[in-house]
This record gives sequence, structure tokens and C-alpha cells, in this order.
Amino acid sequence: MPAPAASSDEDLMLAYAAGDAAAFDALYARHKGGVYRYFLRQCRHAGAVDELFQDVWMNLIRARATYTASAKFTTYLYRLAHNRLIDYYRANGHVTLVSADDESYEDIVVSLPASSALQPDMRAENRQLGERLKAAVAALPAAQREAFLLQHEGGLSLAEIAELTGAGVETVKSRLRYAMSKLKTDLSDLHESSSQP
Amino acid sequence: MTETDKDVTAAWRAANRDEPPQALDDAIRAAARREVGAGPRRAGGTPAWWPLAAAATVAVLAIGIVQMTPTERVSPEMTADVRPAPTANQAKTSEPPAQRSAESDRNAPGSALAEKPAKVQAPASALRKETPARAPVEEQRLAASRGRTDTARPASAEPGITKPAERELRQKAERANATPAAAAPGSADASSATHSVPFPAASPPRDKLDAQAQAAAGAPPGTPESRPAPALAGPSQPAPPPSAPSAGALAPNAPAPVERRMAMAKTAAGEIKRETDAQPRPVDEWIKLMRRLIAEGKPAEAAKELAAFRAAYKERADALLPSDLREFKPQ
Repeated sequence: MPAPAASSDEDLMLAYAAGDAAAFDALYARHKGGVYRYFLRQCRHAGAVDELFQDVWMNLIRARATYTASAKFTTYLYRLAHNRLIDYYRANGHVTLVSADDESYEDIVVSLPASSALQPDMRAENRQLGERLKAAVAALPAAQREAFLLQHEGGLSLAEIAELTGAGVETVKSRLRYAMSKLKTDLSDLHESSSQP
Repeated sequence: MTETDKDVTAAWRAANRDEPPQALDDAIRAAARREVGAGPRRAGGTPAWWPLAAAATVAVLAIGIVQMTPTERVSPEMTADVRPAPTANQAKTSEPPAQRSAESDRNAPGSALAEKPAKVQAPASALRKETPARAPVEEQRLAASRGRTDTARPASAEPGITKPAERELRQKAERANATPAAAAPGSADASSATHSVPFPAASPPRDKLDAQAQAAAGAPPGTPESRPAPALAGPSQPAPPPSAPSAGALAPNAPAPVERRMAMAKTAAGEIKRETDAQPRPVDEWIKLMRRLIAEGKPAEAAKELAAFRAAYKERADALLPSDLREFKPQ
């Protein structure tokens, strides 16, 4: 029995837990792009992205028996993705998610190198807006990037991002503000450079 | 500056259209179908119908047990049969502890006497109906043989080995028979004294009876093939000769002859009959008797019966009596 398109994510997940494979197909079609891009923008190794993406969906499949619709499904799914990403970072070492507004990590944030895509010689080559934006997102500090991706790929609210990442709502708001400011600056630079003769 | 920007969001959506590879999609969807194909699983692992099935099973069992249980009704006959006098069991409980322990020892597994009373009492009622006149003769014979056994028992025998129930039965039998049983000559004692066998096995050894039967048939003793089957007990059966020499050859646990068992059964039947006679008369019979006496113009006797009735049934007497008899007073 095909799952109705109007069903909520939670209903689809419960239907899949009850044995409806079509419900999973519908759910997967809705969220596969967001989850995939979430990983793609945070780890630059393509092979690792596929592996992490598959792991998250397999974890969801295995956890269907214990799933309860107590929270928004997207929050549940991206929590799986976030935890898997943290595990990946830990396994590959030396990555710590910090925020630019965290005073304790201020030195780290300042010392972060700029993306190679932002170098002046590379700007000329990346004229495409999309490519520039991707590069700008990739250049964001990890905490800001994750908050940005969770908001734009997962469609999560500030509170949901705060709950998922374990940070306060104000912290998340600050991370997003910093991220937007940088991205907007990069985009305006691009506009300015493209408008010049 | 806010945490959202329309330009950035629109540019991001336009630029960011990456999707997972088709192979990865297929693998994940196949895995999802595989998992579901194994059957839906519920949280907790117990199927939803388990509580219902358990409740239904319990209900079916309960109904079945209730329907199989026979309904017990208390009829007036049953209440009338209740003996006010102490029963045999009550009398047994009032026995001294030593005697009780001896009895429990006798009922222990491996004891030769453990099942004997039950075997004897089972046909007792039938025997009582069939041959009521033969019982005293058999009892006399039994008492005689017991007397021999008692005299043959050595004085050094342990008191615990002497069975109290045997002694009790013997005393009752002797009381029932007006003539005391004559003690057997001492020559038989030697054969019995070799075993201090308890009551059921205290009968003359099988060899002795067989020898008699063989002598009667003219066959030589000791040939099992020529042994006739032991005849059923009867008044014409002669008592075993006390001087039979091969008495000690029989094992103590050897089964008693049929006639001996019959005699024991009859003795037990006599005991039961006496106990039954000691019971109070059934209520309805007693009431009929009193009414008949009143109708025949014997109020004094009726009053005597009424007094006996009241004595037998005590506080229940008034409840059992009809109103006319309850208030009956001889003029």
C-alpha cells in the first residue's frame, strides 16, 4: 500500500515501523537530499560522505522498533546524523565544534585558516554564485556551518538546533548570525567584483 | 543582521542540489525492505495479542475447572448420618503417642502390614451380606490361631514389635466371642516362634496348609505341580494341625492363604458391623419409631426413645425433630 504524500514524517515512520516499506520510500525521498548535503558540506571526503549517509539511514532502519513520535522526525533524523558526524570527527581526530561567540574558543576561531576558495586568485575562477556560496559555507567554522546546514537543509528551528547540538538557543542564534554575516559579505564581494568592468 | 537572510537562503537553494548516488539509494531502500520483510516488530518484543490470548486461556481453564467440579449438596440424610459419637479416627487420635508412632511405623513403606487393613476392609461389606452366619465360626478359628501365636511369642520380644492394632483387633474379636479361644498346644508354638510374624502373616504357614491338602488328595508333599489350589475358607475347613513340622520354612512376607484372608475379612466385617450398631439410629427412622409408639398407645416408650434421641443428637435434636415430637410429653 503506497504511503499517502500528505502523511507527516512521524506517521510515515510509524507506518514503516509497522511494516510498510512504501512509507520508508516516501520518507527517504523527502529527506535524503538534506541529509546527504549536510554530510557533504561538513566532510570533504566523498567516500566518507556516502559511508556516513548510509550509516544514518541504516541506523534509522534498525531503530524503527523503538521509534516513538515524541519529537519531530526531522530532529530525530538529524540527531542521528549529528551523532554520526561527531563519531566520524573523533575517529579521524582533531576536530572540535566550537562557536565564534564562545569566549573560551576565541583564539581557535581567530586562528582558523581561510578557505583556499577565498583566496584572491581563486575568486576569479569561481564566478558561479553557487560555487562561491558552497565555498563560503565550507570556510565557516564548524559550529556555524553545522548550525547553518541544520537550518537550511534540515529546516530545523533555533530551539531544535539548540537541542540537537546541546547548545543554548542564544548560542545557536549567535552562530547563525556570524555565519550569515560572513556568507553575505562573500556574496556582496562577488556582486561587487562582477559589477566592476 | 539577523540569523536568516533571504538572499543567502535563495542562493543556497539554487546552488545546492547535490543528491546521493543512485546506487546508494537502491542499497538503502533494499535494506529497508529486507528489514520489513523479516516481519513487523513491536517495541518491547511481545505481540499485541499475547495479553488477550493469556486472558482467554485463563478464562477457559477456569470455566473448565468449574464445570468439572461436582456440585456438593447437603441433604437431610447426610446431616442425619453425622455421628455424634467419636469415630474410629477420633478414637485413633486419642490413642497414646507411643501407640500412634507404632502404627505409623507399621504404615511405613516396606512393612508387611502396611496395606493389609485396606485389603481386608474392602470386601468386608460384601462378605457381611453374603455369609453373615459364618463369621463367628471363622472368628473363633482366627482367635484360636492368634492365641497360639501369642503364646509362641518369646517373652523377650520387643514391645515395639508387638503391633498395637493387632492386639486391639484380637481383643475386640475375643470380646465379640463369648467363648474364649483355647490356647493351642505348645508344640505348635515352636513353629510360630521361629518368626514373630505380625497379624496377617501370623496364619499357619502355607506349607502346613499345602501339606494338609496334599494329604487329603493323597499326593506327596513338596511337589508344587501336584499342589491343589487352596480351597476357599468355609466352616468345614479343618484347623491346621498345630504340630506341623515345616512351619518355619515359609518366608515372613509370603502371602497368607485365601481362607485365612477370608477369615480376616470376616472378622473385620464383624468389627464394622458392631461399630455400625453402635451408631445412633437415622433420624427419620427414629422419628417413625416414636410416632409408631405414640400411635400404638405406648407414650412411655415413645418418651424413652425421645430421650435417647435427644441424648444422641444433643443440641441438634430439637432442630431435627418435627414440631409434634419436639413438644411431645407423655401424660
